[in-house]
Amino acid sequence: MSTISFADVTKQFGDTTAIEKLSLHVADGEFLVLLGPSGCGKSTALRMLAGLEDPTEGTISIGDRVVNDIDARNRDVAMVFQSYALYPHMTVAKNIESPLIGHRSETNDKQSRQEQVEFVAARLGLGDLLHRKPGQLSGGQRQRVALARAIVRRPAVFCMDEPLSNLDASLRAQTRSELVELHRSLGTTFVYVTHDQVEAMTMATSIAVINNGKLQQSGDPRTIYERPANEFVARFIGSPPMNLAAGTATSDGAGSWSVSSSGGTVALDQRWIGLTEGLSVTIGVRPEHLSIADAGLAATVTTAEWLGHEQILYLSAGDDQFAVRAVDAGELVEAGRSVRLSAAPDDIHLFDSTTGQRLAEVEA
Amino acid sequence: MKSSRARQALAGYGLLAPALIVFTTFSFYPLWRVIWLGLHEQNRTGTRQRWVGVDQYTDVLTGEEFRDGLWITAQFVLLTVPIGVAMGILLAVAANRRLRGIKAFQVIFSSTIASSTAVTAVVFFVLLEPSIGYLSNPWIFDLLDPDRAIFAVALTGVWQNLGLTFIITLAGLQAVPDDLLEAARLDGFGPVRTFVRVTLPMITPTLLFLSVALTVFGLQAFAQIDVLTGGGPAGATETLVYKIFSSQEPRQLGEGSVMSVGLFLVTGAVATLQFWLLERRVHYAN
Repeated sequence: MSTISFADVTKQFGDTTAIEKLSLHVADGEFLVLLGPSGCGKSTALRMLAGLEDPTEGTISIGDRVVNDIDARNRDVAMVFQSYALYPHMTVAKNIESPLIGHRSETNDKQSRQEQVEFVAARLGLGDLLHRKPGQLSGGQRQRVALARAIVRRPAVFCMDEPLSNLDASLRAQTRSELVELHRSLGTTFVYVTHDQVEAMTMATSIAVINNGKLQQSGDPRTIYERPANEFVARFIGSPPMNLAAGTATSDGAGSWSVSSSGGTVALDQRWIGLTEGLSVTIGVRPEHLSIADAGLAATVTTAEWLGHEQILYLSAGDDQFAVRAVDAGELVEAGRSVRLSAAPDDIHLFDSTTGQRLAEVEA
Repeated sequence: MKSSRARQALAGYGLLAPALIVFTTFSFYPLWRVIWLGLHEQNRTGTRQRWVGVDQYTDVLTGEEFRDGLWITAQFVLLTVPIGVAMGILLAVAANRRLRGIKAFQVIFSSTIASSTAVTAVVFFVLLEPSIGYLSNPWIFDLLDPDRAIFAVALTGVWQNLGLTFIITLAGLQAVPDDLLEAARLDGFGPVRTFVRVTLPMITPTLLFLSVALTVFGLQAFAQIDVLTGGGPAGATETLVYKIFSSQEPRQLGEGSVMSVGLFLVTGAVATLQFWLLERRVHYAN
């Protein structure tokens, strides 16, 4: 019922293209996170879905209804704004009641509205604050009021535009898990915009990574993390980001391939197809997949950060910089030490250096 | 230590001095002088004063002349302020959109602020002239009818202040955050409900300021009356200010001064009352 689809949607502001040919399908009940750096167009995509911006081209559908020409107030969409956009002159109760007044129906008399407001307020722990005004609330409480106002009417689609960015770190972590719980209990389709990969990874059932107005990759968090479609996604997701180094593909003539870079040579497994002799590639390994070993790439530790449960090492090898996440911190590694790095062949990612796209693999 | 404090104080008074001199010369001294004149009676030539004390205040402020003037002034204020604010809101809402060429309308709507009251009054004098004026009619705008002349005067007053009202209301509207209006849209509010439930409460501080300012302007209106009716017909448009203006002969100076003080007190009281009343309904954004 509340599936969402963007079909070739483009949005231009004058000469600037905010979103270019976005095609994306969201299944009913999905928690989709639109993820990307600031200014990438993700908020524009959300605002087009909510009806606050009109697409320049393409169609947007909610359920089986094309909503391009349907006004925002008739789209059955609710939104939590980054600023919360609470009405400062109304009490918390009035704020939450607003969508019920705006979408008044015959079954929706004053008494039932009040009951719904009280129910949602209790659900979000706002019961004692109903008669306060937003100015008298803390940031976290305001955020909850904004959430309550959005869910009180049970909309078909629930949009959120960076709703956690004004909260402090601990409150943010707590609210993340509450949002997941809320999504689970409501079963409504959520579309959530953020630039924070932690929010995306922890809450999403599906992530769409956007950069420069273009969809880079969409899929579940695991796929995005484990099989990034291009160098941008590889670098954007993960902290510290994936190690990337330029190299050249070489064959031993017997069907085995390796990549030689300034730091040394790395052997590849058999799954990569479409490699050609001398192809410029970017080799990628996640910090947790690099380990200090007896043999491998020679590197020198430049900085070592100890985080208690793990150690993050920054190393240089030839012209390249690497980060290593060492979980087994029985013995701490110190800066200045020379080590050798190795990675298992199936933990290696390969991208075409010219296009930035992931090279084709044999399906596992 | 002490000398540095003294030096600081000296610097402080030094910085205050210019404002103090200007206010003393043009506000405090004249105010004191008017109060003083109100306590005295002048001879025919104004060469001699006689102390009459508070009696003159009691006589004038309870007299028919003052009451009439106050009543006519009140009519003028009641006719100009609500209509003026409403018209300002109407124009500002109409001009507050992102349309090609809207700037031209914004300039036109604000233009009355740049025209002098006297010039405006002369223009309206022609428009309202009983035999040739386009706007003159026996039902509302009739400068010759003692019961209706005040409407014509008020019309000029409303027009004169429209530019200011428009500019200030437009600024108020543009300060309403976009996301509040977007939230209202998603809450299912149509344009009218959005205006009544969101925009209007958000601009009440602006409207408070405007109604106080327009009331004060109304209490002090003079040029329109002088040009259009000269207080007539039969004194029907003699506001307090006009009566004060008419008491220029030395003999009337005491009486005029008392009325000035009376107007000053009325203005202060009305402004205080308005702030008090409206502040309870004003929603300042946090």
